[in-house]
Amino acid sequence: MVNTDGQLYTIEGIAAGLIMLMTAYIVVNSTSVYTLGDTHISDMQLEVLGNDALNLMNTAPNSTTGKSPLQTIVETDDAETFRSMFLTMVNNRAGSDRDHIQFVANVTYVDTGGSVSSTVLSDSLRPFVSGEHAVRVSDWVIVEKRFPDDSSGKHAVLVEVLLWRD
Amino acid sequence: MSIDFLVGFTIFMITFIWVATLIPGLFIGLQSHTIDYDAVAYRTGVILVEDPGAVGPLVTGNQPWEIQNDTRDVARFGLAVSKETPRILDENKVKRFFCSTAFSYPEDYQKRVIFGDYPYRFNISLRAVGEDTPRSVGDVVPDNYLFGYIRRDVKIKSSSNTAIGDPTITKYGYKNTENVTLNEFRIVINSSYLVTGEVGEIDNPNGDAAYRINPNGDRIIINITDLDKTRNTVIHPPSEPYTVNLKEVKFYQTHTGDSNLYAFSPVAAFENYIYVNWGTTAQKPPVDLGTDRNLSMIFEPGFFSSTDKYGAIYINLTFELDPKQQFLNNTHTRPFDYNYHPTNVTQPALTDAIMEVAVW
Amino acid sequence: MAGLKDDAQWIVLMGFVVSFSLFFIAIVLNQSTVIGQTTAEAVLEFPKNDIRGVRDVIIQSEFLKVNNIRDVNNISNVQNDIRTLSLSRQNSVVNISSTQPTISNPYTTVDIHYNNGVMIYNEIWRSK
Repeated sequence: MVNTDGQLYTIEGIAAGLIMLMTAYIVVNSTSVYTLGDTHISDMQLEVLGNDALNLMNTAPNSTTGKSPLQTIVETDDAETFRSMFLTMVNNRAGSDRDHIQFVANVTYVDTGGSVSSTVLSDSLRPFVSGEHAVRVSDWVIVEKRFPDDSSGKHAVLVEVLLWRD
Repeated sequence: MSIDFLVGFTIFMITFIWVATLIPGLFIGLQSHTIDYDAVAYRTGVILVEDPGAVGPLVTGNQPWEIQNDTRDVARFGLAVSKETPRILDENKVKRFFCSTAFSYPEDYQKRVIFGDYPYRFNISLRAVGEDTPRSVGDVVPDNYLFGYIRRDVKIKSSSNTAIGDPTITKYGYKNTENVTLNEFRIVINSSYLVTGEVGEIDNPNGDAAYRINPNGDRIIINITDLDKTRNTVIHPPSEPYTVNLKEVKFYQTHTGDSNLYAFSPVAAFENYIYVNWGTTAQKPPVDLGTDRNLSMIFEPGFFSSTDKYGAIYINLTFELDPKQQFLNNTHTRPFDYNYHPTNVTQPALTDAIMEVAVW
Repeated sequence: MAGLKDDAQWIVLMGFVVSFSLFFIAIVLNQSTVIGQTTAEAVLEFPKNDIRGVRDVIIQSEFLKVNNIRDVNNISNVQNDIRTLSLSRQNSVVNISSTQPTISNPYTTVDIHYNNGVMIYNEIWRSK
């Protein structure tokens, strides 16, 4: 009754099964499945929007006023105007509903000693907690002010904004 | 059929079924097409917001796409004023882009702004802050499945215009002192200076395209009001009846390095450009100014497209008065200059707007 | 082994067929997901806005004026700030040099070099 021929089909079946399993294992492992979060698309959208808003705030509304709103805001340290302008710009949509983007804005400057430091310019009254997924955008402003004191002369500062959706 | 065959075949089938169940898992990443759609939406957003667009190879001269009559000459849409000024959109380009009579959805838009072989469906909306309803082109955005999306903050540059009223007329002495039948009023649009000169208070020559007046492609509006006040009311009291006709409007241009005046006339599409007493019908001269005696000349984009970009445009208006008397006239003073001075011309202004692109 | 029959080899063959088809599916999948992925990453990684920003502010700084004369002091202050800040905040080395208009050459040119270790951007900007 017992001979080696008896297991011929069984052995081939196991062999075929093993081949398929091995392939499936390799394929599943090598094809990484991308979800929307992995592709950074929401980050990209947020960064584009933040750059748009910051750059437009740094654009004078017409040629008779040489200064942009952002220049005036940085020179007068006007947190309230920055907050309302920036939130309006990033949260407005083509429809009537609004988005929910929060931000913290810093001014980075070179002080009299030549070292770089930052000061908070404005925020959206919502604290930034470490769990948020934030992107950073920045724009240059030439202001007639030297941080941190007010001595005269023109200086370039970098306005940096952290943005996140809540 | 032996037990051996059954066992072997069963093992094969069980593993096969198990492996087959794994395959749908591989497709999870593909279920949301938005990964690709988002990329198309982003690209479309960039083309619209950061590019001034392009014309086809048959277009001669340096003409922008929005003034092309033949839509086949529009190679690529792009709403930006210039490539140095991303996010600043030109009002005329915006109007033409959202004009549903000039371009039809989806074919005309697909090959000029969406690109790609796949027939994407899309919706592009633009809402200026303060307006309630957005301008929009495309299908209704689906709410039952995902789509690619990008939102851009932009500013729209409006046209310039001037109101030549009593203050201007008094300031520059545009009142005649002689009693004549034909009074001439001249306006100069110095293209060369407008295109290359300094723009108001803007120091940065890299971004000044956002504020420039470009006679070749922009809409130019000249309103002339308070014409009654230019009369001498001592000799001719306001109650005395008189008629005033805009007899003719002549156009001249100069070329770079050549101070001679060369006459030109508007092309047929633009020959009606005069609006009297805030009316809505455009007329061509001669025009009876009626009783209110206000005059608007609206030169649509492209009106001056054939003029030399680095020359100057002169507009001579001839008013015919009956009885002859003093009137708006600058023959003995200088032509009215359409320039970057806010006292002469209401400068182009930038208004905030939001653009949304959805692709699916 | 000579005594063995090879009747059953078709089962192994089936196994191979299934395996190969799996590989093909995998290859197709990998190709298709990469499109959106790379676009988003390229947008995030390519410093388009950094370069544009620094380029704009450099050109703007070249035209700082006081009483209609080129404001040399403030220009050098501002450009030093730009160099220091881009090095510390944007990890990029920025070099600026410029030539002023003369009678024979009526244009301002600004030489801009930007290097963040991955991207190098050079431009000679000339006024109109």
